[in-house]
Amino acid sequence: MYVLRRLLDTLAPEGIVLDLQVIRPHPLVEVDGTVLCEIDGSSLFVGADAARAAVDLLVAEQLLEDEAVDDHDVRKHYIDGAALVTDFETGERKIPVAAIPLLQAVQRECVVRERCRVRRLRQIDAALHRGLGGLGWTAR
Amino acid sequence: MNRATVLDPEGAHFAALERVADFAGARVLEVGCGDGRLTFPVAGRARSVLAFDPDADAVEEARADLPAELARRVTFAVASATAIEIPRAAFDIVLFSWSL
Repeated sequence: MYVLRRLLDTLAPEGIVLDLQVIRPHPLVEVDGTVLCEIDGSSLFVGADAARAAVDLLVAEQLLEDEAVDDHDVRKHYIDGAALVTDFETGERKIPVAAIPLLQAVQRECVVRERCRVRRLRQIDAALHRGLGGLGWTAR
Repeated sequence: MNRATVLDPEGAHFAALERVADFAGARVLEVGCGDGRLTFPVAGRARSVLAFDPDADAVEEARADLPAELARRVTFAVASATAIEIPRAAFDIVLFSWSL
């Protein structure tokens, strides 16, 4: 919340916030347009849910107003299955164990497709949130 | 991200942003810019972009990849959203994507 209030302070009157987040369902791994497996996206959803809740709170406080929403798919392309497996070895999200040998055998492009949402929110009253936040930012 | 991996070559993220916002002439603050993947198309429309991220390596990559024609409009910074100092009421659009 602290960060969000700071960000609101940077907005000119009537300025807008664009909040881009991953959303459910879980990401899918596709090869040649066919779904090979699902990736558990829970670890990323935790952060996304928290960010959404923080924004929702500012909406509830009437500091921001929801104006528009756009849901869309985003694709991450890998040169082959091994590259995909390697990319997920270090992250919090894991490929299902049973799918790893299948993917490692794929020697053509693999795609991870996930759902994202962008929200456009407009600042309602700059003076009000300054009074609540009182952060006193200045240019360095 | 290594070169065997390409995130969103279709430009789906920026297309979605353009469907909900008009960047033309706007002063944009981008929070969590990473390697500048969204910074560059936004800067192509906006008056100016201040883009920051705590990941110094990612910001360095963004600086290196910044097209020359956008250089005067884009300022990159290595910083966290809790620490960076930014003037009040200086931006028309704040863009953040910290779960991506």
